[in-house]
Amino acid sequence: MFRGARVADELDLLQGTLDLLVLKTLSWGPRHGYAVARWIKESSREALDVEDRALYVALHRLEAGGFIESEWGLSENNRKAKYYRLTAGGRRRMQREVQRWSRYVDAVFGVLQSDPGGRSA
Amino acid sequence: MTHRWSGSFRRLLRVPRREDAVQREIDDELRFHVETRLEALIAAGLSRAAAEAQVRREFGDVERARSELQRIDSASMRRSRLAGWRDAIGQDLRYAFRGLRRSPGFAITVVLTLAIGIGANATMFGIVDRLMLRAAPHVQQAEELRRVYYESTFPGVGLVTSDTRSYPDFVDLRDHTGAVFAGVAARFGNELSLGRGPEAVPVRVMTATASLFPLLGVQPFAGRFFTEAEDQPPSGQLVVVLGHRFWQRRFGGDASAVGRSIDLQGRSFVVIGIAPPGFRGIDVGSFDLFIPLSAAGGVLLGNDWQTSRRWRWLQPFVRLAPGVTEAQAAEAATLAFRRASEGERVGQPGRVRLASVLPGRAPNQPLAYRVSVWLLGVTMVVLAIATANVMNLMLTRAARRRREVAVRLSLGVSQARLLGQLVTEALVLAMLGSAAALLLARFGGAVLRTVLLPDFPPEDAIVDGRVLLVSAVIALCAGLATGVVPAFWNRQVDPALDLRSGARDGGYRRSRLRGGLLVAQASLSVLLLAGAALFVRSFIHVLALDLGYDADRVLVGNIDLSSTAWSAERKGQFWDDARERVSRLPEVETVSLAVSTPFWSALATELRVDGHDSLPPLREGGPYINAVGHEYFATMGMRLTRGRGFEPEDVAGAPWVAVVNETMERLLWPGASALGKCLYIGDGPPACSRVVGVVHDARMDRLQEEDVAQYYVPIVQNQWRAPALRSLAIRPRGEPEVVARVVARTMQSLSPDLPFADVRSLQSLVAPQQRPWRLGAVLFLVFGGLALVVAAVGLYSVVSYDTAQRTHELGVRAALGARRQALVRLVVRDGLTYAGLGAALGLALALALGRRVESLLFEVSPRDPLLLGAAVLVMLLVALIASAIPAARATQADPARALRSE
Repeated sequence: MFRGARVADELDLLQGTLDLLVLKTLSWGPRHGYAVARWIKESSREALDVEDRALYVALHRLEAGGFIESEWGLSENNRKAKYYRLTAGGRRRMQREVQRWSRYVDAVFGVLQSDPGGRSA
Repeated sequence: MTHRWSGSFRRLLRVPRREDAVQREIDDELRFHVETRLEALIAAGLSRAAAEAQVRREFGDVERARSELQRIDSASMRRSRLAGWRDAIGQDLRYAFRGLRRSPGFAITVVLTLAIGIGANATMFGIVDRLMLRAAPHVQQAEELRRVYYESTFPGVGLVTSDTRSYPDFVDLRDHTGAVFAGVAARFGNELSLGRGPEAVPVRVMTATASLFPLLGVQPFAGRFFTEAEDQPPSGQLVVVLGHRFWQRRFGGDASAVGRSIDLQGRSFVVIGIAPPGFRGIDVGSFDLFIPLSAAGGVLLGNDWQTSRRWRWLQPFVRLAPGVTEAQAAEAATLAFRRASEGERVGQPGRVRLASVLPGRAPNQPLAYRVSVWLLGVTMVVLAIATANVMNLMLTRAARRRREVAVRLSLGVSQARLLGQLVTEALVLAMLGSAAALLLARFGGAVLRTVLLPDFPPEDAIVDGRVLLVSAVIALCAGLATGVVPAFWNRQVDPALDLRSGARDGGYRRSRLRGGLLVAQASLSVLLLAGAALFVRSFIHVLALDLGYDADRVLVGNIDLSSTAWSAERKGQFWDDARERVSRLPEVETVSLAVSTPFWSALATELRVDGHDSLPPLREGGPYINAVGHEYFATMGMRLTRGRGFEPEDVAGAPWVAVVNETMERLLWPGASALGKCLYIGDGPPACSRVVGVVHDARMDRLQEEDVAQYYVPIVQNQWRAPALRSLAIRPRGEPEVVARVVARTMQSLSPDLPFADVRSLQSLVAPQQRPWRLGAVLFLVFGGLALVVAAVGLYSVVSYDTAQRTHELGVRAALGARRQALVRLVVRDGLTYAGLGAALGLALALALGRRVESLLFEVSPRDPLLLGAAVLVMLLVALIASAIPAARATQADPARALRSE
């Protein structure tokens, strides 16, 4: 069901999440936008069908906020590409968000997996 | 390959080419993404069309992405650019403050110089703005309001412009002009008596039509204004609106004042409302009370006030109807004016002119206003001098810092940054100067107002938002001027050359720009000094003017009996009693009755003399008649030229006598004596009043009038049925102000019905006319003095700097045997050259501008060689001192040391 749900128009809701994914992706080293997009899709086994547009918006916003910085470089196929890199502030934010997100997920799962009869799902 | 992909990218995105760097980067980034994805999909076996469709689906709305990214990136770029500027400005400011702290003498000199220039400007602008450029408070849409002026030509006199008309004229203006006016109102201001008997005091009353308030758009502070129904001729309701200040003063701000009654001019007026604070109609003066015109007309002018065209007492003003031009309205008003004056027309038909209610746009500007405008010009000159001076100081400072600049340039600081720093420093100085200037304007303005401008509305401060704005703009301009010019001069710095040239900071060179600034300063200073000399001389002339009587040793006493219900006999009896009682006061030396009072009232009547069919027309009108007691000439201090004055024996039954003044004698009997000639006075059966004396000319009502023909008859002989107008002329024994109060109390105590008695020195009637010259003299002197000080400081600092630069040269000269005086002369000669050139230029300017101020001067020629010479001399003297001090100091140095220091 996730697959059919286009998250593009629910950017507000997902903004924080998308930001977090981008920051996490960049935490392993500089990448260009295409690589970030592919990584998110492939590592989620195409489950997160994020529009590329939304991804670029997130990248540019994070850059305007000073969490990542960019630089033009040469891609693997020898083309001019814009590479993004995490700043110190971005790394701090990512760590914070990861913690919060984990707590959130734990809490939600706690609720989903609870059972009034005390039986486990 | 790339080309092809690029084409499909364009097709995919449908983007127009744009020359925007931000957009180009975004497009490059997206193109890379799209092309890389397409390549990957095609490599994976998809057809081209299928690949494009998939990319489109994955990507989402490309156009929307482009605009979103564009927005984010532009905003972020703007932010970072702003932050960059902020940092640079902060750095420049810190640098500027640090630099100024290092040279406090320079900073203080510049700030004070600018404070003088800007402060003088702010003060005068504040005054001129208040007096002339601004509508009175509470007036809505003042730009639609017009004052009404009536112009008529009279044979022998010429064009006469007046802004006062009779009530019927006002009615014509209101009822016979069609629809050109949205409203017509008229007002009259005078002093009336509040209360009766010994307690009576004068109050300033505005008598106005009920249409005044809606016309101006003013709302009452409390209660209401009077209505048309209460303002119906011939006698309106006795209602009164209190001025806000009067209400505070008299009723302590008690709201229950509305509904109470006050005794005005012997009648009881009901208070119906309170005007908002500061309300004064469209005028400059202030008013205590406002009453309906029709309630006042009868009280003030008798029964025919609403039908007679003789009483020209009202100032009408109008609001133009929407879409009506001033010319159309004036045309309609002129027709109404001519229709009414058809029968009585003399000479050319008159016409109506409309003019703005702003005093600055009135056709007949009072002298004080014209002087104020000139003084505003003067302060601009002071500012120009101050700016030139600061520019010079900045140049000198820039020259001193050439090495520093060279070092910074060679270290890679950009020219633009350096310029920015210099301009920042100048702006900081200008702003500090402007702050000091506003303090100056605040206190200087307050002094000025109380001493020189009693008309100035008391509620208004001189420094307000507009003045703040103007001084900020001036400071900005001055800062830019004084920063940018030296900065550009500094751009000629060649780092290599200036670093090599060693200790002498680029070596001594005379700057033509600095010299030019000195000359300009000197010339403008001479111009102001010349102006100051002319105005001071005028003022001295005004003070020394022979009025024909001892104005400061004479009191005049008036009391308005129109509010009493007394018969003519009773009024005559009152005046005889008043004279009698006042003459018995120990504080009074002599006292005399008189019909008219100089600088207050003047009357003329029919007069014939033998040998003249008709009297020659006189520019000042007249001859004017006055009926006086036999003590009059002695009391006033008027000198008899020939013959005798009046004697106690010149009683009703004795032969009729008269005294004429010198102008009248010269006019009627040129080359002959007036003594023994007959005057036939009035239009009754001819009876001779024989001239028994000739009296020295005396000013009648203006300081700047031509000689006026005047003659006098004994008040007891009744040659002339003088209207029931009487006044007292009193020569006090003690302090005039004190005696005036005693006399007033004595007069008011004669009957419980009496209004207030107005007793004041004749000097106080003359003083308002002297005020413009006093204003001009004092302020020209102050500003001229300031300009001189500023110019002297400028000269001093430049000469000091130059001599410091020449220490080496002077040392060489001294070592070669030049004498000290010769060296001093050498330096002083430079200073004097600048001053001399400037003085010559200033003199030429003064001569060129002289004609423009001629009408503001009093019996002084604007080309008076003595005064202009004095201005030049003062300038040269100051220049001599300003350059001799540094010269003496420089030549005191030990030549050996000066040479070694290289």
